[in-house]
Amino acid sequence: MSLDDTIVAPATAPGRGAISVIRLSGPKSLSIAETLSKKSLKPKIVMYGHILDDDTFLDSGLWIFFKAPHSFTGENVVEFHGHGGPVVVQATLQAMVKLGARIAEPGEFSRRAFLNNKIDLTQAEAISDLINASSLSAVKAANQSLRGVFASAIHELVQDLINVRTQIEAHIDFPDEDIDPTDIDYFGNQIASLKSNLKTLIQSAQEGARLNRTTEIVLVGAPNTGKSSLLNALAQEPLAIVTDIPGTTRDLIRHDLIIDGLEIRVTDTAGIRSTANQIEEEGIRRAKEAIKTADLVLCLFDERYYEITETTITDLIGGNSATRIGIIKTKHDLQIRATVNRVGLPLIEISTVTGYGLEHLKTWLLQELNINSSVETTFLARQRHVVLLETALNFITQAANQNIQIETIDLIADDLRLTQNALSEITGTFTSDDLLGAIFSAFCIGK
Amino acid sequence: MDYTKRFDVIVIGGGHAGTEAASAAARIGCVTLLVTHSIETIGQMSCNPAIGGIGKSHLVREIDACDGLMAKITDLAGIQFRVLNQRKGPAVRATRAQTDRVLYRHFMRNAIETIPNLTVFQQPVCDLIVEQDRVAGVVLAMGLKLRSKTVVVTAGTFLAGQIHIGQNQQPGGRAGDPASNDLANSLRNRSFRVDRLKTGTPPRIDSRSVRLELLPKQIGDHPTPYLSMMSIGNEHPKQIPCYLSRTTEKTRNIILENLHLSPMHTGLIEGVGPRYCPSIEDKIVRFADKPTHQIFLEPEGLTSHEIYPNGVSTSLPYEIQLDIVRSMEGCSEATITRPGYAIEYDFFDPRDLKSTLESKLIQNLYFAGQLNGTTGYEEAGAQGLLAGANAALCALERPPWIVGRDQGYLGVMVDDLTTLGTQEPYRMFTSRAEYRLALREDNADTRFTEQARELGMVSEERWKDYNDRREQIETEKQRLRDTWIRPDDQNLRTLNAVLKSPLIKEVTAYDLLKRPEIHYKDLVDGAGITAHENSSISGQVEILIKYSGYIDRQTDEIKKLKNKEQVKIPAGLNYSSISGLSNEAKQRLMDHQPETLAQAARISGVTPASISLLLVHIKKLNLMHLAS
Repeated sequence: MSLDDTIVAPATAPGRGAISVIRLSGPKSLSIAETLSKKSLKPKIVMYGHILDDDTFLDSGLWIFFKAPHSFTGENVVEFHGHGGPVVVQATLQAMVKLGARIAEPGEFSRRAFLNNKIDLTQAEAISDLINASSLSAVKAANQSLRGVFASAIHELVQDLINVRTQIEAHIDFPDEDIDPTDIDYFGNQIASLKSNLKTLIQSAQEGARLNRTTEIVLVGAPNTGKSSLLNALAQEPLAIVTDIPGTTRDLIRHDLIIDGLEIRVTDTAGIRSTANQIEEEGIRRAKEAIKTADLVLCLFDERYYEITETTITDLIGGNSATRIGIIKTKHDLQIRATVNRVGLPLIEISTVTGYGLEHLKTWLLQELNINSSVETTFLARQRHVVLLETALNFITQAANQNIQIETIDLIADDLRLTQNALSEITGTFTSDDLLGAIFSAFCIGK
Repeated sequence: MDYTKRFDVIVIGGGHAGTEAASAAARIGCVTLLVTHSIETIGQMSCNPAIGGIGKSHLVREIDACDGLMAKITDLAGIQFRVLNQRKGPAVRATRAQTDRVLYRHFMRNAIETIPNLTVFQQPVCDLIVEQDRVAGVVLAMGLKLRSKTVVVTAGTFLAGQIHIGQNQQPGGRAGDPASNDLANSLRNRSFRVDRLKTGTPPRIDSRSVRLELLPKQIGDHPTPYLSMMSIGNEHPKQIPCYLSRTTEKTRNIILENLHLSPMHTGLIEGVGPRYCPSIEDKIVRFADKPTHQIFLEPEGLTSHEIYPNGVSTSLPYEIQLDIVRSMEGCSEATITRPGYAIEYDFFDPRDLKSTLESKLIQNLYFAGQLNGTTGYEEAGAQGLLAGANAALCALERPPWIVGRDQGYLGVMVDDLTTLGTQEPYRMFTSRAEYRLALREDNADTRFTEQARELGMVSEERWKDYNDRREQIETEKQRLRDTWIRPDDQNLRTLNAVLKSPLIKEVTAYDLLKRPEIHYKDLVDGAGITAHENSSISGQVEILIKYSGYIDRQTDEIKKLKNKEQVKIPAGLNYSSISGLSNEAKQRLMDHQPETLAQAARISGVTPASISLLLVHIKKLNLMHLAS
């Protein structure tokens, strides 16, 4: 958190609307806007213009400059009203970040407005609530961004970094201990390999950022309740192999759908049941992982075989009560009993064979997810991660460019400290006391 | 001592914190009294006979830059001086001195007794006079009451100590000192948070019983380094070496066979000791694959026959200690003069202190030294300086002196202690300082002397010396900026041999020095530049030029920190009333009671979102305050 830099974020909800508004606030906002538009902006005058990132055309739209203190935040604010669509928005944000803006923290625009006396005292509670709610959604978005291969790659990288730092710092702080003299070239090699790993990671994170902009729905249910059939029905094309053999879906199948402009990723999971099959077990583990980060979980029941009770729902989704849940009763055409909703959760009956209830389901989904279209998306979270990774790369590059020798070890140590500081914002703080702990457990210190 | 006099500052204790505190207060111009239970032990080095070392010498230099005592006394009493990390970068170089205990005590007492404004009195202090949450003086054991505007408590060596040797335990402080005192008990009754720490010491050995001639000798650096900027080169007494012994396979076996007798291992002492100072038992167990551990045999002084075997701290029974010592190289006939022991003792939670080291609970009362949970003479001395100066400033109704993390190791230490508290005896390491490149042993004067002069702590003599030095450095920098080196210059071949890429266009000596591979001496040897007559000036100029890019980078970092430091958190803020703050964050903030937003942000478990909420809440309080 800083108080005097320039922040940027989309001011409109994510999705594929006709228009998206991107808002800059802070000392650099005017210069960033003028660099991208190649125009000189005047307060309160709407100007038509382009966004040119190094002469590459990104978008065209309206630029509006609000001069401090006459703006929402009380700082210099520039808004760009451009075309909707996640790809354009992403490219625009990236161009602005490149020029010195930072992706805003959740609630940060409002917070700045309050701190600059633009919002009065009576609204202060609302600001607190907003910061609180959006930081929760930010934590969730960050968790979504930080999963799978990306997360383990970052943790591995941080561990390697800690190892090098532990060795270097031990040499600095404990020269009289009989620590085996490490070859200085070893540090050089370690730093070079950290640098190249970081580069690879940024590449994959950027690809991930492009993919991770959608709202996530996860389908869960006992084997053969019709999860894959529902996915196919929503996608209107066969994606998953549908058979009547339980356990057909062992891996996660994901499909990106657009329903009325809202991008939704639906993940089909392996049916949850205790199983002796190892591959299927792995599929179930992945399903549980997906439930944790989902925006909405749809629990599918074929009521001929499974009762819909709180217990059976908990069996499906585990203890993750934080996630919002909808109940889908499938195979309406084959059911004999009338449905009684005893669990106090939304319940929709469908049939993928007759199409019964599918429209109703879509409308309901849109309603649920639009309410939930928090400003904090996985895309923003990931974008923030990419920026931090790039900062880290910048510092590790400075370390790699040093004359790696014993004489410059204090400078190398400082480059590595700043590398870790940048990564800490993704993986959690690593304090100097943690570093000392690492040294004391790795080396026998105690003169 | 005139007991009818009203003192400005009373300092309780004559150890390393007490002496610096009393001398700082007196230098600022306060009528100061130092009360100690024994004048003979003023400046006593009660543990290892050394001052300085990595991180610690930085503190000593900072004390010196404020015209404090420790560096000057060490120069007079040091019997072996070395610069550690000599080959590494300047930010991590550190001077360390083996010190003669008797000489140190002698010179320290002498210094204390000759400071104007400072009176010394021998008498135990048994209580504080407190009036409406404000301290107003002290009560002596003989019943006399002395009044003062402020009080600095530094009497904290091993409060309520419990000594363990083998399975035996007995109350006790430093050998010979009373274990607890009435003052500590009275403080304990005043709702200060008290916690317990543990540490250990090695047995001492008679040097005449060790075959020193068989052991590798470690001699000091030549020319001998100095700790004080004001030392001119004739201060040191005779210099003598240390020796290096090692544990053997036999040591290992003795320890493994007798582990069940170690109070640390049998659970008599709960928890762990300091991570950086494990007992020899611990080292053998945790690093089982290490066949031998080095033990530095450090002389206790020129006139003493005792040796301090650094690295063999133990709490095993005496018989086993003797076996262990005799299993070490060169020590087969050794005799022990004092047994080693482990000790548990009380300290006051430093989170109850402000960054001036004033108590948050009782106004005008300051704490410094080991009772704040630190270990080491240097850590104690530096706190003494800060507490003594602030007690004086408070007595004179002048604004307080706060040292930031970006200004010195003193600031890092005090911020760590008052923000985070400590779980083990707190010792300084350079890795604790995030602005390590800027906080060097060699530039303590530029970080402290001007400020200390304004506070009134710096003598005319040092101030003149400081300004001369600044001027010489600036002149030399300008000379290098004005000196052009051209590719067609004569005798450039030697320079080109050092350069990674040969010179293609003319460049100033200043810019050339920025290249990592070029040193000042290369400019002299390879480019015909006359060397500055004072190598300490040219050395400083070289560091300043070489480090300038890094210093700029840290300056940016520091600027961000300052923003958060400027947001003060009102004392006694009711965290439970802040909506949206997680219970964990509330609990942590209530425990730590941070003074600024920057401190709050350093508490683990306090997330950036909590900081945002806190910021909004503080602003809200300010607005409400304005409105009413």
